[in-house]
Amino acid sequence: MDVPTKSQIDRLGTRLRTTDRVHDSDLEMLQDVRRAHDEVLAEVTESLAVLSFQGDRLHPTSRLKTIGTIVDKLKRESVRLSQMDDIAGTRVVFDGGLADQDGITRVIRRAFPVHDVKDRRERPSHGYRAVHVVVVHRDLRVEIQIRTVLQDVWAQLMEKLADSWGRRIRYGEPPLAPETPAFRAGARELTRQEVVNTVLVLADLVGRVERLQADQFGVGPRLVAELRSHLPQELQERSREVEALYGDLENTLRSLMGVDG
Amino acid sequence: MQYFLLVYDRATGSLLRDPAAFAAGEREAALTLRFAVEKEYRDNTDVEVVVLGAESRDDLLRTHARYFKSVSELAEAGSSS
Repeated sequence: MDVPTKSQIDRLGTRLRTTDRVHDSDLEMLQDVRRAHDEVLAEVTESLAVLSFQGDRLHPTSRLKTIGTIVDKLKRESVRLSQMDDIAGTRVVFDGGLADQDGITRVIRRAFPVHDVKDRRERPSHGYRAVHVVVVHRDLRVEIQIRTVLQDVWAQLMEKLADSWGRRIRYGEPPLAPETPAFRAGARELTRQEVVNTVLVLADLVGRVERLQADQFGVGPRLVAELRSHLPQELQERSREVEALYGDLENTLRSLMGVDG
Repeated sequence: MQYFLLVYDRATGSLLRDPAAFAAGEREAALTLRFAVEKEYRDNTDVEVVVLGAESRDDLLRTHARYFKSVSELAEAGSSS
């Protein structure tokens, strides 16, 4: 396999950015670029798979970006193709809170040469929360997404809606045919736009519940639930505050059950 | 790691065929097949062809639920998490 040089890759990126149909020779070159990334992705994922945090292994999964999403990103952003962080991506989803997420991030930072860390928790990207660590392996970048279960639930919901209602809703744009009814439950009917608004409310709830959890306990929700009866009275009251937010979160999620798609 | 080739139709939110599984030593074969299937669906931007690497199918279902569940199922799973 001939791996193109960085300048060849960037010229390819320029052509991809300005065309509606990828030329056959460009497609071949893009496959070479993706094949090279696939090799380093496999090596980084294998290395991640043997890491653990507090006794639990990380269970990463990997994926190589599609042609369509590479071209979309080139058209959406000014990034050069050779500098794109997420052609190769791996994901870790874990049952825990923000403190655990920080801990897993530290474990990963110690294990790989790190190019960049993007903390999308305090400043989420259109509701999307996660920590992304971009590592460099054999001169290529691999993006490691680290998500709590709640952050992942939110991301999967938004991605799923974006599949059929337009992928640009992930960047704050309205859905295609925004006034189309998304579902009807009795007398209640929600349009696509209203469902997207509900998902954005959900994003805010995820942020609030995780912050409150971290501020008050510094441990994940599972441990708080297990320890609640052993907590002092004051902390038990505080944990009820967290529980109430979880109730709001659950109700919001339940309101999305019945949405087509 | 195992590798799973998925052919997913965004318009309907469902898989067009059963995931094809590849053993650890077959990563390159999975990628070669992916590239061939991508060409097959080149003119259909709704179809996403992807190879996901995972130690188990359970890991795959956990981190990439969108390919396997509807909006309702994702919301239901989230509400019980």
